[in-house]
Amino acid sequence: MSAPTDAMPRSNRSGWLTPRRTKAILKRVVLYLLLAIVAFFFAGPLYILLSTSFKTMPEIQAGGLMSLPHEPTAQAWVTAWGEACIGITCGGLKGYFGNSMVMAVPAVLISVMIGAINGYALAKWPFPGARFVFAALVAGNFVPFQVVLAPVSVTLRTLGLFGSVEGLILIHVIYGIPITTMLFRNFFLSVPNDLIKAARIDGAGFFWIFFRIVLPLSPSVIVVALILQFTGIWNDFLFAVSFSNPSSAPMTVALNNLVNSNFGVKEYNVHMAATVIAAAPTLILYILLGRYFLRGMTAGAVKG
Amino acid sequence: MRRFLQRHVSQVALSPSLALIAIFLYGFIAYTAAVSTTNSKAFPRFDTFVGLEQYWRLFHTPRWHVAFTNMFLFGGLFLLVTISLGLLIAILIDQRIRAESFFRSIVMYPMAMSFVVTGIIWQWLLNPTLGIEVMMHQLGFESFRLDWLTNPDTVIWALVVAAFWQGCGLVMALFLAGLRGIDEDIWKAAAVDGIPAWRVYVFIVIPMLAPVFLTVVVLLSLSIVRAFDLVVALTNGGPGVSSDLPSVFMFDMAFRRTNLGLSAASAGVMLGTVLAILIPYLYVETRERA
Amino acid sequence: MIDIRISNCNKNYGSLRVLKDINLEIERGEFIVLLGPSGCGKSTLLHIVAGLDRLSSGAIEIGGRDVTDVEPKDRDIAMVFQSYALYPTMSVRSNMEFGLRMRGKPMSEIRPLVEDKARMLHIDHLLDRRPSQLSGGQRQRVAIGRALVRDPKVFLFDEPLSNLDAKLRASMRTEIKKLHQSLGTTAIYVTHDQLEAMTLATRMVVMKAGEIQQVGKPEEVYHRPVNLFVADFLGNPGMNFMKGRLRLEGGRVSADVGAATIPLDGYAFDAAPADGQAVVVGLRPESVQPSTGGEPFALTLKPTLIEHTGSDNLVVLAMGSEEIVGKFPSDMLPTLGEPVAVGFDLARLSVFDAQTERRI
Repeated sequence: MSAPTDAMPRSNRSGWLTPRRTKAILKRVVLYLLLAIVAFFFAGPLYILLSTSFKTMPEIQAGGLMSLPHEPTAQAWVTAWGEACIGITCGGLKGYFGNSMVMAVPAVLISVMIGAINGYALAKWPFPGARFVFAALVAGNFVPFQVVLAPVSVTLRTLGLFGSVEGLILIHVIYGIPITTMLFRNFFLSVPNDLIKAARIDGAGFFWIFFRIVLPLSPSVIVVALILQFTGIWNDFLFAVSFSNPSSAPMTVALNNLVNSNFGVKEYNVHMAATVIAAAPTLILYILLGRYFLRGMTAGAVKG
Repeated sequence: MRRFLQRHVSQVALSPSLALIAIFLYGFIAYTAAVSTTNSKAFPRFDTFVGLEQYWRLFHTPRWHVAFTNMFLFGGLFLLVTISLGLLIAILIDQRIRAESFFRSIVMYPMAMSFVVTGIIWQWLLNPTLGIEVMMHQLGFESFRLDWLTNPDTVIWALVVAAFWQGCGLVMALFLAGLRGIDEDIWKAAAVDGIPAWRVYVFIVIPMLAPVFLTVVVLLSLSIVRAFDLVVALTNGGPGVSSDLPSVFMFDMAFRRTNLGLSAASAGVMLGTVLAILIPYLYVETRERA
Repeated sequence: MIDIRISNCNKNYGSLRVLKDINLEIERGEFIVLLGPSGCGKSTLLHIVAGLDRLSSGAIEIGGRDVTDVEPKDRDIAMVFQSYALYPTMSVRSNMEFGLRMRGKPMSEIRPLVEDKARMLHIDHLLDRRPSQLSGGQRQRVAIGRALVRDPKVFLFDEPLSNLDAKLRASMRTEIKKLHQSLGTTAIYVTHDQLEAMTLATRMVVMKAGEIQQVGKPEEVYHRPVNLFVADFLGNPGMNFMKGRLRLEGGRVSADVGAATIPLDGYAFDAAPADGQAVVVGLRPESVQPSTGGEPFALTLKPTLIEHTGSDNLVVLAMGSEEIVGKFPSDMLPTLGEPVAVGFDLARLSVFDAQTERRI
């Protein structure tokens, strides 16, 4: 149907490749070339991380940053996980990975729960001054946390929680309140008020409506909140390095110590393996649930 | 009592959070502000009131000068690079390409990583004996030098590149969303009017994206003031203190140099900078809404 | 003088054929309306004439020049869009100037041109405003002004009035018609609103599923529709359709539609009628009037529903097992349930073959 034939008017006789078409094709080629460069810039480092982690030290020192390992070995990974020396102890990353998990999971769950209730209260059960309360809670999003480091330190010591996992959980929960509250409140604004009114007329109360009506409507925002909080808490360094002991340190601190400590020979392949291990949880979350990631990040961009 | 609780459930539910934030945020800010007016060293001591002397001392500390100016230098470069390239990449991806979600994911995945990880990665890549410099030598460019990490004058670029690598994804995503929101008919009208594509972008599309620019600038600026993890992992403020930033300075003063008063003063300045960015932004936003 | 020639135009999206072998010749100064339901391809055809879309096969000529591979900007056309497509960050003046400035015309020429066209459209007092400060009707005028200023060979309109409310639509319709009368530029106008099509077109092109159903002057298409689809698409309320069979007796033809036998003596058949042929007889409501006693053909029918539109009364009449609608004058109000004498204007009949749906 679309192939030119002799019966067709003159213009199609010039064939398929007209000047306009050529220009369009050239544009596409340049476009994809540029995009390839961009992709190389962003994906390259990850590739290097992975491939170097499977090389042996002599091979690394011989150069060839971009080449695949000649004889891939997982030794670096074993070392990174179980034997690498971080600080004084030489037990690898697994302990610190565990520390991060034990800290992150409760902190994420609790802060998301609190944020959800706060957001629900502010969006669906307004009262005089609610706007002010919202602003007061959400302002915490913009504060540089350096400004509270010292008093938090003092408080934790007073409470006997300094250097403990519980202390870190407490801190992450408290300072997670602004972002989770903002996220949920903005989402709950879009839940129809009539649903709430109907339930109240039927006699339901604050928490019943929350658990039985509002929450079931919110799986997407809950996922976004969980991902946002988990990423923030897992990747956090400032609080981790300020308020932990060598034994209770989360992953980020351990990784930094491993790589940036200045004694001994630098086993680069081990460092790379360790870095991948550290980045793995959030990276996997991103691969699986990428669009929720985006919604979470842009939630910070959309003001209430 | 029960009646009161029932009628004010909402407020009751919010009060623990409000109380916690009141104490741990506003209370602690006040605390730090108070400490910044004392001569505390290793421990906060409110009996050593010295007024604004710590701020005075701060501005006469050479290291702080470096850190503070670095913030603007790094910030300015970072904003310029990330916004222009982020917009450019968004435009490229907006051209109805195949495998669009693939390219989007590739640009955005660094967002998922910790700044520590990013800092470590770029520390290797910029390492003269291991990283890009070696690769270029092996490719034949013998005289290629990438000494950003060891040269105090150019180390700030190391921070910019690493921060761009991580932050570009979000900026691109925001610009892409903005581009997608532009009425298709505008493009058609421009095609019929005979306006070349680049002019459409410069004179029509980019002005239409002004709100996105504003959001991006504010968001990025806030993260610049807070930048800590990246510096520690990438350069640790070095070489020397040439890549120092206010956050690192503050941390050092508090936990290593045991000079809480000075540290608090630096934190106060950081907060002031944040407010200087936020307040005009909020003013503009609320004015537009009204 | 043929201004636009569309030859054997086909457009495919993969295996979907959106336009099938479209052939159309448009003379200078005509106001052609492409009319049809959504998805019929009228917008696609317009975009192809504009150069915003490429044909899969075929050719387009504008002003005698083959423009099949020419960019929109070089085709000497201007276009008005449904969503106005005004550049939001520029003033009305800048919007109207922009295209000319890009072509390198000196400002000394552009300024007076813009002011002149703005005056013509009564928007000269809005020149320094932004689109967001204008009403829908004003924005549409600016969009038209932007097209006028280009002084093109052809105007293309893509459902420009669909976003306006009914009253505004009516007044803008008149303005567009007046503009065309004073400028005389060739125009192609796309709409799904048959009233717009009828009032604006010098010739109408009715389309369905990528094919042209009928091309002709509005009166022609209205009174002599070429198939059931066209007959049904035009007219509000729609044409009455009565199913039946042809009877040839003694050289005379009539249609037996069950409740009545309609004489077809004066009907101009396009093809030879066959006895027993299954047909559909079409008659518009305005041709179903209360009988005054003198008509060649009249029936007594019972009204089952009456709708007062203000200017007429639409009366639903039971005819055997079917219903037809009559458009009575507003002062003739029959009583529900009481039989009333009704006359058919036989000169306005259309007879269609029941199988092919084509007019016979």
